Amino acid sequence: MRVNRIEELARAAEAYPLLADLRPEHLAKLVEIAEERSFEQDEIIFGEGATSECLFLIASGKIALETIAGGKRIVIQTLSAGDAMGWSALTHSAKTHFQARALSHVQTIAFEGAKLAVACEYDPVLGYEIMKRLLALVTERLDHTRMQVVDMYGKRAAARS
Amino acid sequence: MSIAAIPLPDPMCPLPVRISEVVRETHDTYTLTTTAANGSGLPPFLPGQFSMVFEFGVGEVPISISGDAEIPGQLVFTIRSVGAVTAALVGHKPGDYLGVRGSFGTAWPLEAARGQDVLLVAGGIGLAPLRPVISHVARHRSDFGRFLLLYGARTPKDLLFRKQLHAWSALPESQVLVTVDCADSRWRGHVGIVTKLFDFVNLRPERTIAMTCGPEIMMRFVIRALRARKLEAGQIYLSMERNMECGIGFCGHCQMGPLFLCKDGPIFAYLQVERWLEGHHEL
Repeated sequence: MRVNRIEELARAAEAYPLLADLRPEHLAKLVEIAEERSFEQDEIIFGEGATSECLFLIASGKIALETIAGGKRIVIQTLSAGDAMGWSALTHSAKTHFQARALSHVQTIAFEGAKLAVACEYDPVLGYEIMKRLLALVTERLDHTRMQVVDMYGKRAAARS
Repeated sequence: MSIAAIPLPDPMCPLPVRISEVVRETHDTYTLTTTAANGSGLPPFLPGQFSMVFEFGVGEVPISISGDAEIPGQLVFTIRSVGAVTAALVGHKPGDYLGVRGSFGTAWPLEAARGQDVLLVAGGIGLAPLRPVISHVARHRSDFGRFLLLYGARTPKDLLFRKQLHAWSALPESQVLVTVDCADSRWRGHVGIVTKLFDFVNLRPERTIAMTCGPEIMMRFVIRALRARKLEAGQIYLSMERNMECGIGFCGHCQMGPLFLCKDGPIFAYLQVERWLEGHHEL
């Protein structure tokens, strides 16, 4: 379903760090390429190693990012309302590194990566704003991943303290 | 009660205690309830304080007290097996004996928190030193504003006090949120670091006291998240850990700058330790 009401997205922008404080004319451009997509519980939104096609903003519901480790499928992060997912869709020919599975009924606002890239190329100011926000998002994700990787609750950490 | 008012036995002489109960919390963490071996009672403690727990013939370790400070005559310790002494401690059965020195150190700021929202952020075994705070808030619920607990663990099987987490979430005006770093696909809860849980609470920064306990790296990120949400440095308290040995500020093993963690801590206002916490990865 197309998102065709700029007021809705403008209101919703406050809930999404990726859209926060964008100029109205930029939001209008994003509205033109935005689509609403819903997923049912346990539906695979994208598989691991799939071509990354869309940048999703999660409007409601909960999503698990999963991968295979030690022969088992594990959850490495859950995402919920306000979070963004699939930013690699903005990089050319990117593959997803994780599987995304809906843990509940999920509603998203989706931006097709190719269309978003064109919008950013066409309007470099919009492109720069989007890239700044994506960089902040990726930085936050990297920080979180680092903290998970150091196993801060692990026995070695506990023994050190 | 002020800390100075607590009558202490000879601080260097372990008091024999008898284990009355052992609860397996997780695969490597146990809670031991102890009472005085001679029936004479145990000195009181304040939430946040720790004892030096002595395993005869093996050694001694600092362990935070995780029990309810208003239940007299017992000391409760939640111990994770991470070394020789703690491995021996968690191997005990009811009826066995240990030695205990203390209680030592400073306490969580419960008086300052009166009338305020109480936000606790715990990571891993760091929930244990905060449990006496939760017991106090639960007992005196009307003395405090909202109660918020954000708790992170490595995996679902590492979560402490599972039944109590449910009970705490049922307290009036309370919110208990749990996250793990990693889970299998059966886990329906949150996965991610504990600071992500701030997205799901509506803090009232002007009337919140935050207390945090966990790995230092976690606490640094927690403090950044709290400051980003407009909490003043003076509203933040944390529990620090070091290699405490004497427990009374004599030996210097736990010194951090001018502070002895065993005597001046383990509970600090963030303002007291900001310089060292932010300045170095290893203090």
